[in-house]
Amino acid sequence: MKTLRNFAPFTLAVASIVLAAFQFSQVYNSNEWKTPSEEMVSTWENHVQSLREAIPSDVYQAGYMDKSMLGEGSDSLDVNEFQLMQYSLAPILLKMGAGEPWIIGNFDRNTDFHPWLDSQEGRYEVQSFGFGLYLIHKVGE
Amino acid sequence: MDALLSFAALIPHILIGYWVVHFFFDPTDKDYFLIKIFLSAAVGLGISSLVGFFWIWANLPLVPFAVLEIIVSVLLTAWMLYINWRQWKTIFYPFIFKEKNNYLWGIVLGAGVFLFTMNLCIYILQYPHGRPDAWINWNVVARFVYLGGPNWQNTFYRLWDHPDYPLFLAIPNAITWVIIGSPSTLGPSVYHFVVSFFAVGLLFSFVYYFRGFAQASLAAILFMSLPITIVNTINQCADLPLSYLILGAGGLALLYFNQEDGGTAILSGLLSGLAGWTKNEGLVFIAGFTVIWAGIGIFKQRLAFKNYLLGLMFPLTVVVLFKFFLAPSNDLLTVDVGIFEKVTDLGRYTLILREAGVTLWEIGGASINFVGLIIIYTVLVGSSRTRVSGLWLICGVIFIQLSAYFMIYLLTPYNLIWHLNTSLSRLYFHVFPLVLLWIFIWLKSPQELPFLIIKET
Repeated sequence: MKTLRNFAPFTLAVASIVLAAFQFSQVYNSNEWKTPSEEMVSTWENHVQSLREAIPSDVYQAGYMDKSMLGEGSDSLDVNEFQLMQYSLAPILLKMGAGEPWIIGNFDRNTDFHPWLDSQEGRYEVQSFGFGLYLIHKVGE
Repeated sequence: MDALLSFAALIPHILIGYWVVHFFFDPTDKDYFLIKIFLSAAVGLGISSLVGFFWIWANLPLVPFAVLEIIVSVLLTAWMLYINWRQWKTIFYPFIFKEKNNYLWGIVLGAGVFLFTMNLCIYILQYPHGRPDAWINWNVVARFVYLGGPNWQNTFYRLWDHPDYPLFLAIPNAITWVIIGSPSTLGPSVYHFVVSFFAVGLLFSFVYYFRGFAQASLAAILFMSLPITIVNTINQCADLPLSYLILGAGGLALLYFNQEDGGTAILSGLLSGLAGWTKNEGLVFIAGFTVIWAGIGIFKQRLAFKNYLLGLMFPLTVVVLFKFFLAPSNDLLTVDVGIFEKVTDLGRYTLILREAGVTLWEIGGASINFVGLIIIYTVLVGSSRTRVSGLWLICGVIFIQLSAYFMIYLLTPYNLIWHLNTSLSRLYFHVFPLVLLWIFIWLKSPQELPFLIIKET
């Protein structure tokens, strides 16, 4: 018992080191760290880059639309994608809906937003950036 | 290059922090040297973010602020070295350990530091933007500050997240991006990397002050090796900086209790206020910690409480101004008509206690049960023969903080199970380094055990 007690601090320290080494080996072997560009947020940022560059530098607020605003109900809003978009487009403040002259459209492949756009008053210019991303501009405002 | 600049960008903050800490400490006491070093990041980053806040609130551009801060840090350092050149050895006292020939612990500590570095680096590569809460609530604010110019305040109107969070993290990260020239993900990554080492160093230096090198090494190794520390560092949220500040404030209070140096009380107040400038949970800490200091003022020395309040004043004023004029109200403070029902619902108490118990038992996140391990270790080793007075302070801080969290859960407007599952572990981490400080000051150190008795020099 006495020997065990006297060795305890050093044993605890060595056990901690082994634990840290074990953690490192687990992450190392997962190989995810080798491809940081494939990490979710980095991938998203790459998708959004051309859209971000297309927005004029003096625009600090934009609308945000996804399928939840096309009659599919608020439950279908993908909050995670909205937050990713806000992070990627900062310092542009995203507001839900089409109330701003510049609108970010984030739709999936099966969603056609053109009928909605046709029903709106005024003229709109639409730029597509792939991955269901659109920049919609209310012309004349 | 970005990585190098990200490190370099933190140096002015740390230099200013060091000299502020130096001003409040007894410069002739060489034992304080390590504590001063490892407090400098907390104080420096804190002061920079407080002053920087006024700067951007006045709609002044951030570039001149960053330049000004570099100039001030260089001039201050040059001036302090010039006026103190005769006491050079006192200021930068050589890093002498009380126990010489303690190579074994030095090697193990070195291995711990190496593995901690490797673990952080590999996780930074894996999650360059941090975990979701970081880019949803923290790094996004730095982007608004850095890229938004006079429109940076749009950050307070963000939807679906927490726009009321304070700016302890955002402003230094935005300053780093000013120096890099782009919003590189390495800025926040390096920030958390550096702060984590200062937190480990501070734990080490407090335990070293009271219990010597071997015990300090053991505490630091344990802290660095646990997944809970690594995860809360690389996730790039404010939990690690808050833990660091709570550790600093609590450790300084203990130091005051033993040395009665007025400067430590002022710094303890400053760090306490900075906790409120880091996360909303820090406001809870300010309230509880002020009660502790009031106790010190009543039972030990009245001046202590005044000094504490003096240190607390500046950051608390900034937090109040920020909350009053800029930040929207917090989601937890939404009008909730069911408060009476919640307080009288015994089921909520049971649920919180049960989940808190389970999370506590699993804390550490390691494949070995940390709590079980510490219990076995405590039984084996026992308490130290040399008592450090005022350890009750640390227990008091931990108890008050956890009790306040209990009340928040009790009254939360959210689904209780969801709220517990998503935050309990992080809340425990806020007091985790302080718990380790308490444990390793209370426990017998390796020097007191026959196996590793080292000849005192």
